[in-house]
Amino acid sequence: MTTQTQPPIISLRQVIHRYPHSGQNAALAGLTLDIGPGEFVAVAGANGSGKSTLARLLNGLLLPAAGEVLVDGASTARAENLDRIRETVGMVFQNPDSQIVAGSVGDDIAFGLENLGLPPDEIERRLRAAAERFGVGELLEKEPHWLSGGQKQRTVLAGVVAMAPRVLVLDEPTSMLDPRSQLEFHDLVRSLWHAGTTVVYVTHLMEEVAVAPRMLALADGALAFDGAPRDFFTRDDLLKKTGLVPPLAMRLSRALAAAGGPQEPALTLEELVERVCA
Amino acid sequence: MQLGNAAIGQYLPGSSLLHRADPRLKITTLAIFAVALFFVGGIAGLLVMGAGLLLALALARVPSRLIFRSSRPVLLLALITFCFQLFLHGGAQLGHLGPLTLYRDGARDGGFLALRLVLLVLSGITLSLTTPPVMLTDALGRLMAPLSQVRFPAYELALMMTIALRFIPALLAEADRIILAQAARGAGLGGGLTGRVRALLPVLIPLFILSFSNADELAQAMESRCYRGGRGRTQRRRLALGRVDALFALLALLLVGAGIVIGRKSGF
Repeated sequence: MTTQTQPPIISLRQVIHRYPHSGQNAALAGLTLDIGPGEFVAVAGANGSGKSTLARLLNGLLLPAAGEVLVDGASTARAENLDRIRETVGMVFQNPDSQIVAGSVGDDIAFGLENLGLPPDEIERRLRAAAERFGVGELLEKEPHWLSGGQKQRTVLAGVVAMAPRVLVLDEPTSMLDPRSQLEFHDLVRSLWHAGTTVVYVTHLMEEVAVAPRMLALADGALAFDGAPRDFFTRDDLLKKTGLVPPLAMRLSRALAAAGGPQEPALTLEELVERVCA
Repeated sequence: MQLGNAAIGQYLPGSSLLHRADPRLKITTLAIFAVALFFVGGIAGLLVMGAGLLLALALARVPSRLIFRSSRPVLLLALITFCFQLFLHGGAQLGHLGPLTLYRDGARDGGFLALRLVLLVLSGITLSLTTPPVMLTDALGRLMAPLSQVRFPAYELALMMTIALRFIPALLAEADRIILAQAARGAGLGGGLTGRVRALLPVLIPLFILSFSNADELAQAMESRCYRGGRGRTQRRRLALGRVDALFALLALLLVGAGIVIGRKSGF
């Protein structure tokens, strides 16, 4: 569902992906979709539904067995495109501990910038700006093992964002964080989206899906739904097919409706409060 | 047990001359110092070099107990070396200790060898106490950079060292978790050597599997951040030699020179 009139920044055309030794079982089975520039797309699905595979296909870490992934018109299957594709699509993974390469926060944020071959002054300028933006400006000389989970994941995000990617793909980035850090991190990602970055956000947390303008729901490697979260969470057949549950606010609002309360379902806690207090 | 909080390396922050000197220069000086130890002809020369090293450590405000703690393993080795020479050297006798004979030349040669061993290790400790591990690997990478002309993977080697250092605390923390998980299910540390080795296996196997999984994820994270080896890569840190480095080099050379000259002239 590309709302913009501009051409999509990411296109998948009948993408099939199989992992070695998995026989004929496809992790992704013929996925076709477009993501427009500036979109925020949440990706949800049960374990093994193909979410992480999809994320890794978007910047050429995995290549499709069939079909095509295009990033800004360039196919990930062509090796000569990969440098440009990885500059365009930044990735944040689940576990910050296995993404931090360098021995200090500052050096880790600089890692990607050094790979881009930027001059030292530019590296320093960009890394300081990113570190300040994500609240790790005071920790530049700290060794990663002294950081909290939230600080580590913000360091990773700073390192990726410092490279100025146009698309940010996040694969369950908050699943190892405490609830407060989850909220802070999600807010940071939304601020990047508001600033114009295209965001593809893979998550298990339905509260994070609920506030996305668009969601993709995967089931057994196929696209089960592509649209607004409200339309998804109000359909029991889709919830059953994908093995997902609605966010807490919607479950509460359903319980209230069953008990004679407001009938219109609420997607977020704010909406629920509004309906109850109306 | 809190393995994950263990300090890695021995770096002690400070602002002394030793701390501020260029890490490349410090590594080069360490190499020269270590080689020079084998050109010093007498104990007096080694004593001069040792005194200089201890003075530098004192000026860098490194606590003496930390120096002692760091060099404790080598002190034992030095003592064994000294005893071997003292009791087994042969030649003029110095006296007796029970059934053992003490030899005069053994005492001199043993003292010389033991002191050289201690100084060799102490100079390395001085480097690691006054240089952050990150700077050390960075400097090593730069020093080896010319070798990349002959296809030696200098940058990759330095990066491997950085990653190894970076992952030691993470691995210790994982080991900590695994041990606790095993203990929660009734696993003990086992008695005797065989028991201990047997008890370690259930810790090491998951640790290995986890390390491979982490390595895989790390490789993906590096690739996604445009890593393609040293090709076209720039560096954040710009190292340039300055006055501090000139002063450091001068003092280090004077110390090494004094050690060699005094060692030769004193005849002791």
